Amino acid sequence: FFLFFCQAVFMGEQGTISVFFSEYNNIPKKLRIIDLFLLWSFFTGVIQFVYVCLVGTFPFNSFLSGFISCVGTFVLFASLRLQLNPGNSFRVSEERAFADFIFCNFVFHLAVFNFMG
Amino acid sequence: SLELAMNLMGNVSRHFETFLRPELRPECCEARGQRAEGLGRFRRAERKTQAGGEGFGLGWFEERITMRALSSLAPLLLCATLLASVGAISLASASEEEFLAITVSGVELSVFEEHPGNELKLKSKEKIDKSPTVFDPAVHLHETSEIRLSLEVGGVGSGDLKPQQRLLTLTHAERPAKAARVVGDVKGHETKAGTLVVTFTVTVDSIEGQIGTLNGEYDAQVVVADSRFATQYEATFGRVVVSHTQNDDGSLPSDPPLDAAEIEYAPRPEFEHIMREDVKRPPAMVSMVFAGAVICPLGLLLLLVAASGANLKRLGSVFPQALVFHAALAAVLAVVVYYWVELPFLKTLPVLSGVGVGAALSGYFLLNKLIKLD
Repeated sequence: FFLFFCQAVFMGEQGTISVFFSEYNNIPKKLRIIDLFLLWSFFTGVIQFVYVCLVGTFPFNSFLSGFISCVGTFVLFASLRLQLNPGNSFRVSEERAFADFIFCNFVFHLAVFNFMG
Repeated sequence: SLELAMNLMGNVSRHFETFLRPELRPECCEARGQRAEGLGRFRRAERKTQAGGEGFGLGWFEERITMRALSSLAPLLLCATLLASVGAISLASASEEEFLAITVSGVELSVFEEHPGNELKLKSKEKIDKSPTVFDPAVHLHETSEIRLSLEVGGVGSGDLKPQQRLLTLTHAERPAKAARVVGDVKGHETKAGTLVVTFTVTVDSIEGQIGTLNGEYDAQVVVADSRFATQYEATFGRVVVSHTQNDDGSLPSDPPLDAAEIEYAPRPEFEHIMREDVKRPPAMVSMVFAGAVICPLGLLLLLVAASGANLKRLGSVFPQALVFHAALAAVLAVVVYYWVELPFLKTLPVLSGVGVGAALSGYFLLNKLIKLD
């Protein structure tokens, strides 16, 4: 069963990963760039978490501030991606979605810097 | 006197009520029965009035309100008049009284020692010219000695005056809650008219009777005052070393135990605060490595964005607007960082509001330009 699973996922043109990448190239470039930003915020948060696991949580509020910054940025980028996706029927224009994204980042990172200490 | 006053008020009230209600007077009726009959006629007339026979409310009001109010008002008016007259008399007498401008001189502290034959002889005499006065060496008081402080109070006039407050207070230096007080004796000066001599005699027994066998150094304060004096006399001197009578085995008597007040307000035992141990910090190199590791995804992001074919073709046509917009974003970030470093929050908000409005406007114009280019 394990071999069958690996064959189905990794091998051949009909493998899951191949289909995923071929379909992924078909989505708009704008969304792929936003996915890069999502990956960036994700890995930044992971690196911070690994550091805390290695050396401890002191100062805890600073760790929370940095980690929440990554999480919040990830959420805001995901929201922007949802609004810019042509497949979703949102009534706001792309420019309005981007302006909302910028404003939310302003407010959010003001709180992040306030909490950092 | 209070009972007498209450009886007086009751009698006045009854007589005044009798004056207001003639039907209650004994002379109105020949006998008690006729008086009762008179009262009964009054009651019947009252009931008839209440039923509306001769006008409603006048008889009822006269009985329930006016009569009783007037009868109770009279003793109150009498007491108020008496109090007002007493107050006026006291004020008048007080305004006539003048305060005495006293002068104190000849303040001396004498130490007497007991010699064989129970005879007291003067050992030393010191003058107290100023306050506070510090004796060097200190004055010693023990079971065979006696301390006398005398002072002359002039300007008291020819009347027989004894200052109301004449106290010598000895306060223990280490246990201030323990204080012994000696009242001074007063007699007229032998040669000077209008002058009193106040003498304080302090012995070990007088101190022991008040605060127990508490040895050690005492601070002394003398006060001579009266409500008729314009100013009081107060002087401080010290120290007086007191040694109580030794026990039979030659040891000094023990100090009295601490009072509840001394225990409550005594200094608490010293203790060392246990501070929280500093958290173990990682090596600086580890922190720097991870700081660099956090920046790496940003660089990787920029490379991947460029490699993914980000559209920069229209950057030239909107370059000024894009530059202004991104400069405004950088200004917002700079204000936030400055707030993090130094600026107070309430000063940050107006600055951030202004810069944010600028960023919003520049972004609006940029997006507008992009839409028009589409």
